[in-house]
Amino acid sequence: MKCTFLHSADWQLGKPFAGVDDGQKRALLQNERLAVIGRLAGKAKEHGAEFVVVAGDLFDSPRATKSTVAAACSAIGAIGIPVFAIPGNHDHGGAGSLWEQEFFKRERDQLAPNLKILLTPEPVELESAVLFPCPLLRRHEATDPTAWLRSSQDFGARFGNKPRIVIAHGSVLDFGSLPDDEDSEAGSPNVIDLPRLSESAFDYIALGDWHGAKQVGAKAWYSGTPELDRFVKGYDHNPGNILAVVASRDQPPQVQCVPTGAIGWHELEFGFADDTGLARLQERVDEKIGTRANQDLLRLHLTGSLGIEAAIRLDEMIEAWAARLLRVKLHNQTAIAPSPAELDGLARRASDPLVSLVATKLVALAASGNEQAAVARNALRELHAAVGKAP
Amino acid sequence: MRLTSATLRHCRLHRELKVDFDPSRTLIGGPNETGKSTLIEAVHRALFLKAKGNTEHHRALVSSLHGGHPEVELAFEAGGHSYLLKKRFGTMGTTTLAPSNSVTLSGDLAETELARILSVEAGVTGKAIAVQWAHLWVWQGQAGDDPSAHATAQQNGLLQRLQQMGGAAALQSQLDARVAQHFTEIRDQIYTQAGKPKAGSELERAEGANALAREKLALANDRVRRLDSAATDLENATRSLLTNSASLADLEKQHDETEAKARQLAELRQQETGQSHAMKGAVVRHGALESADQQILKARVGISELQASLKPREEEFVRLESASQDARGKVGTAEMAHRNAAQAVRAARLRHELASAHALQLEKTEIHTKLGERDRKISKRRSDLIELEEQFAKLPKIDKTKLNKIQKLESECSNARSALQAMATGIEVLAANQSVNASGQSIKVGQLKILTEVTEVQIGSAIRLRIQPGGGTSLADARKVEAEARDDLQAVLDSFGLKSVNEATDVHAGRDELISRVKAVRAELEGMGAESLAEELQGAQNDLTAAQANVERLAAMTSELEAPNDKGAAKTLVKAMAGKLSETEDQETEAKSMRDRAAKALVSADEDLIEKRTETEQQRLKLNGLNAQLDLLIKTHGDDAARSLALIEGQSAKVAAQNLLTITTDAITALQPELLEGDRTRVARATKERTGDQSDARTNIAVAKAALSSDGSEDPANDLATAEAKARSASEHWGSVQRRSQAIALLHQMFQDEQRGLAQQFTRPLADKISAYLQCLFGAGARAQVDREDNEFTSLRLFRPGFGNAPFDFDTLSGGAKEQTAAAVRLAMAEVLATDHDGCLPVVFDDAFAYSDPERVNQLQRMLDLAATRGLQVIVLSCNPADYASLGAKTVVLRSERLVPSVRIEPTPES
Repeated sequence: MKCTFLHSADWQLGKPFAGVDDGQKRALLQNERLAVIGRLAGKAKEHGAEFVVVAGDLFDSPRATKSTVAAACSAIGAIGIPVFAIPGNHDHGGAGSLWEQEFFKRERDQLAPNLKILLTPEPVELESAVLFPCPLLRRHEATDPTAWLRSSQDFGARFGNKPRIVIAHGSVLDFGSLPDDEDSEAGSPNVIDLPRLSESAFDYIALGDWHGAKQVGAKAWYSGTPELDRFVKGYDHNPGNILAVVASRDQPPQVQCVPTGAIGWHELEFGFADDTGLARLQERVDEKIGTRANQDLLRLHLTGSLGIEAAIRLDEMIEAWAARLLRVKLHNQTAIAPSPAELDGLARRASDPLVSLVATKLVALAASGNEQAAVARNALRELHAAVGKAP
Repeated sequence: MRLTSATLRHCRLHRELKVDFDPSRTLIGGPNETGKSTLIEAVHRALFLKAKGNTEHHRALVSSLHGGHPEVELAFEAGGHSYLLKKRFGTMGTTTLAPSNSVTLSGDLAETELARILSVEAGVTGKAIAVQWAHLWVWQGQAGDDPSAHATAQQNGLLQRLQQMGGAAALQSQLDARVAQHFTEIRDQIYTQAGKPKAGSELERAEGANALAREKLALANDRVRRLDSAATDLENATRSLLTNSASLADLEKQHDETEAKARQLAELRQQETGQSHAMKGAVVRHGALESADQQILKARVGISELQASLKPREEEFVRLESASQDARGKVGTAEMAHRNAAQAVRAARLRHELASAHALQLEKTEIHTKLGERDRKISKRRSDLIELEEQFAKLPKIDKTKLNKIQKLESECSNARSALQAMATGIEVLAANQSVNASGQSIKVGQLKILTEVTEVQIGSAIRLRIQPGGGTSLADARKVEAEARDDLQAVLDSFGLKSVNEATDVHAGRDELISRVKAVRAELEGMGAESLAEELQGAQNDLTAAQANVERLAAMTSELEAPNDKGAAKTLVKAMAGKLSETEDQETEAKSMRDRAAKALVSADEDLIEKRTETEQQRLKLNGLNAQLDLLIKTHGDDAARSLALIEGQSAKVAAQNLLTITTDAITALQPELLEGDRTRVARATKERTGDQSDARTNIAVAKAALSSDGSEDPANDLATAEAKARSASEHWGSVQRRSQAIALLHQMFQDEQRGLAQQFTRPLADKISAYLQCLFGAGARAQVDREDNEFTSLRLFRPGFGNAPFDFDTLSGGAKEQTAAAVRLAMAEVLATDHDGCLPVVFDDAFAYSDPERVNQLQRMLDLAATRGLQVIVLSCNPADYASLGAKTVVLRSERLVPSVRIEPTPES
């Protein structure tokens, strides 16, 4: 027996994007996480999926607000086919969890009767498949959530030839999870001991937690988040997808990676050799963003050194990007080194001995590398501005 | 500007004084009160005091000695010209100023021109006059003032000059000043004077926002933690509920088992009580039988023992009765013997007393006899005495007094006669041829006729002589006295019946002898006890009578005893009787002792007898009692055979009851009753505890569920994420503002420092000049630093070798060092300012180094000489001009005007 379904995870609905100062932009980012559910519904139809599996972290928080729940249920209800979700570390089950709250049950019943939250580690037999949910009942499970699948129960003798689909959330042994966002440190410690799962007993292992699409075993896949929610780099990341899976008993699954992401999360590192670097930086940013507005976020690492004027121009550029983009996350370690002309304008003013003396000392201090250097760089800019402003 | 000469008229003690000043160095000397200060004050007033006026300055110049208005003529050079200034001070004062190159000016024009030349404000009045050129004029007593004040007062001129002297290149530009000001203003907007963020500043707001964000973050964190904690509590409580339920089920089972055992135990205990009761009955009954048997046995043994012990006691009783009889017989015999002995003692005592009475009678008789003899002797002596007293009575009563009186009368008679004889005139006829008659009686040749009275002596016929012995009438008086004395004597003798004085003497002697003899007899009588004899004699008679009566009484009471004849025999008899008496008394004592011993033995024997009788009777009573008891026991408990049977039956019943009880007790022991009760308590306690835990767990579940329950209005986790982001953002913003604030503070500080550096550069010419003068005084390392800020001198700092790199405070200097340092500053300022005055200004030191020691005064001269060499006109006034000998100055010595009316100008050493 065959079965076609969509594997997704880490929707993290209601994520606050607190790092984004602008409220409207924050709302855009949050709304995009709902909008992707609509795109997913289209893909389900497109691939003839019988149901959708969400491998944890449907919500960003175990105490999502009513409005988030309502919006989520409305979007999920619109998918039209059953959606099976397990709690992940972000929206873990257990005592007092969201899933027990009345307002959630009410909204789900009214708006998303197709949504099934699998809170118990026990097989769920469908018409064409059997689901083996491994829900997280607390944020950090000390034990392997798939441990129950290794019990003495003889799953092989039951459920006929229906394909068996494991749904779990956590990191696999040789593959760590990412922090919850770019400013946090450690990721989830919930570890799934994948090799200990019987090869023959299960036909597909739908994993959540890792935000890029990735195959981690013959039958095991992370779908990644359908809409990226953070800056990531390295680890061969492939975010912004869902997986269209065709599973059958005792057959390797057929997995297709379907892109769904809309928001661009860009990472750029740039070092200034001289003031002409500004133009090159502009080009690089343009390459990434083009003429889009309010669809991208940019993490910018700047190093090297610039003249005072150039540094001011850089500030203006960054200001412009910050207006156009949803967010510019800046790590600016650019040193200010006055250009010869600037030096002439400040430190070699024969007619203004005080300014000249102060500027000369500041330049030396800024180059000293000690803790006063940063203050001195700022001071140079201030001095430059003050002298420039002076009639 | 250089002073050339000064002429004073009518100024205080000066009638007229002219002094010429050296262009470089002038030393004005002179003792006190020679007008040195007046000179220099008058020069100062000429320069700066408007002539017309009547202020205290004007009046101060007026001379009380010379009259007239004070006048000063001052010749000086300025601006390449020479001037002659004349001022006459007073309400009608006049001023003329005669420049060498122009017309003479007078009045206000002259004053105005003078002020211009001196570069001072015209028309200065009042106290301000005194401080004009105060930096150049060191008034007496002000030499040690802090010179900074002068620098400040002269700063406009000084700054102008310093700028001209090459400081201009280092001056800040307008842009410098604006930029520096700009940073000062921004810095002041950000920081307080103390360097703290200013209220309302961006820095303060950013700091506040950061603190607030951190606070909110802490709150959000706390909220999430509380929710996490509630979730944990809920989980724990749920687990606890499950665990407790299992425990309670187990406890209930334990409770049931324990209760079943308890019931079984209660039944067994009841059974045990019954059996124990029964066993005790059997034991009691058997015990009673045994006891009776024992009693019978014991009674029998007792009877046998009593009977055995009674026999010897009865024998002993008989023996004791006999002993008592014997003792009684012995007591009778001893009693009799004692009575006989006592009788013998009585008889012996009577005989002894009789013997003693005999002895006493003899003694009394003897006493009585002796007293009779004495009585007779006394009677004889008494008749002697009577006889003597009769003789005495017969003699005239011539006692010693009377005899003396007679003798005295006799003596007086004799004396009268002698006197009569002495007065008599003797007439002796040695040869006569005619008769010599006296009173008719002739006196023959060879015859001595004593005449005692007026006598007519007739010699022959013709011759008749009247002889008056003794001068006349006294002879008759003497004769009268003699006759009276003789009559008195005779009368006394007659009164006693005596014939002569000799007889009186004899009678008196006879009376004395009789008195002696009477006294001797009376003494003898007294010695013989004549007075008490009668009483003694009566007493002796009585004693004798009593003794006789006693003899008679005793003789009647006792057997015949021969009366002794004398005292010796009596004494012997008494001794013999005493011996007998003693002997019989010993015998009586012995008999009495024997009687007492016998009586005691009788008492003892009777006591033994009574004791034994009582004992025996008691034994007998006991025996009777035991016999009665034995009879009663046998009657009650049966004979020996019946009792043996009953004992065997009782023993069997007891053993049977004991066995039953043991079985029950063992069953109870098997149930461990002591643990059972513990179990019940424990199970009850545990049940209570677990039930409490259960209740707690339910409460905790309810509480945790309430805490975790959400209406979906907020998401603490997202709130936390937001708070974290905001805290991060606030922190970053604060950091950024801090960096900018620090940059501003740094800029402000750097501009300040650089401005100060520039200022120091600016003031360096002045500082260098001060340093040069200080080095003359304090050595090569001395230097000065003049600080300037905002175009004003802010401080003058001085450094001395050997005092480290820190500047020293002017006020800490000694008086001498103060005036020297001040002089150095004044000279340097004068030097700077002199460029506006042809390179020269006069600097006047009026007794300005009063506190300096000689060595330092030498160094001072180097400094003053340096000033003169650099173009200044140094004028020193001193009352000790010799101190400044090495200055090489032109010396002017003022003298008292009353002695030397003119001034002698001494040549300078150079000239």
